[in-house]
Amino acid sequence: MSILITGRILGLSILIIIVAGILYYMQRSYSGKMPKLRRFQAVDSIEEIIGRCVEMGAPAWYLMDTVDMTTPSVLAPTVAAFQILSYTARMAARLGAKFFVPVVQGLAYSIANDIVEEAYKAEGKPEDFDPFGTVMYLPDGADRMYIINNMWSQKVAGVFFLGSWYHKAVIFTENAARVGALTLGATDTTHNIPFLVAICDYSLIGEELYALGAYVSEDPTQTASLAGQDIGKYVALILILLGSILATVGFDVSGIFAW
Amino acid sequence: MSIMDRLLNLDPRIIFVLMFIALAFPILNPVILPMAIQDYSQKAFDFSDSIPEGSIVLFEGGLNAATYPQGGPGMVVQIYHMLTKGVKIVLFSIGTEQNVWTMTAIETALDKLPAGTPAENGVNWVHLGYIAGGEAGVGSLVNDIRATVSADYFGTPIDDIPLLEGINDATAFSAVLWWGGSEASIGYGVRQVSVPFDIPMTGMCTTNEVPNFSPYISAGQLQGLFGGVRGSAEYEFLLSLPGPALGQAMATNFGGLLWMLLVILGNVLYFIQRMRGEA
Amino acid sequence: MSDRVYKIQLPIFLTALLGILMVLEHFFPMPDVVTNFNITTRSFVTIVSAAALMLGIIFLTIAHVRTISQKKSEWYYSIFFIVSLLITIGLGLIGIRNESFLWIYNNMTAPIGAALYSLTAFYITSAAYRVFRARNWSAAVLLVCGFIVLMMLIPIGAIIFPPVVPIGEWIRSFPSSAGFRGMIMGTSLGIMGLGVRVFTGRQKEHLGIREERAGGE
Repeated sequence: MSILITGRILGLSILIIIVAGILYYMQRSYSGKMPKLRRFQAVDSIEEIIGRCVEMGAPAWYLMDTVDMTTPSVLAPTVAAFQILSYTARMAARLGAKFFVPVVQGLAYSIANDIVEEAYKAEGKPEDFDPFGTVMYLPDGADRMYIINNMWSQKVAGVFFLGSWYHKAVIFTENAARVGALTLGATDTTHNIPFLVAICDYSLIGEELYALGAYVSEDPTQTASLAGQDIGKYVALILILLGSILATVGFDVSGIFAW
Repeated sequence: MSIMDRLLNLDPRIIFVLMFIALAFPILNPVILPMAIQDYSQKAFDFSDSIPEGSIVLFEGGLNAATYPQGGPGMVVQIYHMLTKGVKIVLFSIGTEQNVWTMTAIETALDKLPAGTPAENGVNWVHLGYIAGGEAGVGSLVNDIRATVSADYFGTPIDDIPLLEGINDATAFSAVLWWGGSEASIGYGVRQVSVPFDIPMTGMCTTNEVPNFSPYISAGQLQGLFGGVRGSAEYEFLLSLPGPALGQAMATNFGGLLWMLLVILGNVLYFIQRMRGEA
Repeated sequence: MSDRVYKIQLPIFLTALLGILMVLEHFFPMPDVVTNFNITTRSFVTIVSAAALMLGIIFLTIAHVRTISQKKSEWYYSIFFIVSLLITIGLGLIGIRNESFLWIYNNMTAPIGAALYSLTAFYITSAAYRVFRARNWSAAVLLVCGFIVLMMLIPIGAIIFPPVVPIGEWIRSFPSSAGFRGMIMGTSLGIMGLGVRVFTGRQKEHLGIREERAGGE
């Protein structure tokens, strides 16, 4: 019986290199050595959107679309969205904005409910949290008409579209734009990124969703892990260059994947 | 507000009504226009047609209520195609709702089969039902079928299914057909089945997801792809089995043309406004 | 067991343990006991999810009962919701392959789901009309590429203007694929970073915990 499953050596090696890089930067942050990271405009946009909602006396909505936490490809962006929800809910509670989070899956609903309730408690405003109204479970399918209609009737002033977005991205973002809301969109589902970028006032692309989550945690160790991810990009660049050169000279690179 | 401003800020309801007319008219009054076959669909068809008689293929059914109208007709045709070629099918789903719709597609395909076509449950096809765990579940299934699932969709124990006698992993399959709908799950099939077991794969996804998977096609990991309702219509056309997808695809002609017309109008008005210095 | 242990440390420990086992299973041949444990754990996810669904339905029902009792706006729709819920649950409990239950699913739930999915076409057109303007060079390039690819995709496009097919296929196969590959790589790295943060217990926000931290702690 071999030690490793055939065809997985390359994947395991790259995984080890990237994880080691992330852990290295996280370890360095413990001793105060922080990597230089560019400022995320999206962090300021969260405050801008919440502030606008407070000024206009209109609600701020936080939408996450598909939150089927039994699907691995949806779980990761949903966890990132929860992280940003924690930050956004605290800001909404602090500034006194009406906050609303519709969720279409039971498991995600209970987690989101806990996160938002804790946020309000942490800001010393537990009375502003409505256990049946702030975070609401909407059956998948029924959520579309509820959200479209209520965006108009409540004249929402700010909407966050964060998480794993599928076809509802264009429906809700366009509706929010027509209502006149200020919007921030971020998803990692590649085929819906163009919709969010085109329609939302502020947008993040792909991995920036995860980076924003780490950024708003205000934890230097989490922020330092972003530098570790860049090691993965350098590895990818090297492999792309190497593979292109080898393929151009006629070397069959596909054999490497059989190791 | 000038006419220019009114047009540039056109009420979306007017756009919705125009689009409704553009889509509903060809569906209610079928208009068959010439259709060119896309290279992705031709490749997928050629690959499916080349699967030898007597082979066993692994088939993922990932369509739900929302995506069945666009992918269902094509999935029915694929099942029909395989059974009429004498290819045996092992189906499964990674979603609970998708599991039910896969059975619907099987039943529809069985109804369409010519009399005498071998299509016995457990012998020519088997539906293993819902496999939990997403990609990890797929990996588990293709490495050890009996450890992952104990009975098929109808509750028949795996060991009592003639088609699966002597088969416990993906090495027995000649091809993978992945009708992933909008699950974005084609990558699961590539990573867990096609590449590790070196089994060629094709499938279907919704139209907006096709660019997502075109890297796999360029890399040779996918042998073509049926994209959305047009892909289903092309499959019906190539197999000479006209169905609902063909009518729907004709509707996309008018919808697409209206879309382009509106975008051109918006840009023309925008440029006029800019030239006047109003934008 | 203190609050901190069962609210923070235990969930983090379980997440890390089960997550690492799943990752190891992908790379190393594991003993049957581990494989079976992983398969069982994956089934637990579905069961827990279904239990949480019940929680969501209960809270939604309470919200609607509140709407009815307080006669809030459009409270009569809440009656409709509760009656529909009770009928569907009742039929489902009789049997999910029950004819009436399947009738509701096939003739109401499924067509409504498909119809709502089709809203996308209308909103895309509305968004395109409003947003797809050649405001600068990059927007103009995007517009032209979008047109070419759309012409290639609609069945009659290739008949009206045949050159769109090779140009559109080139756009789809090369620059578009390259962009998507880059995004997929970036997203994968982001997920790895998220995984490390969750497994090491640094990220706790998804547990509803947001700890005030001093720098580099």
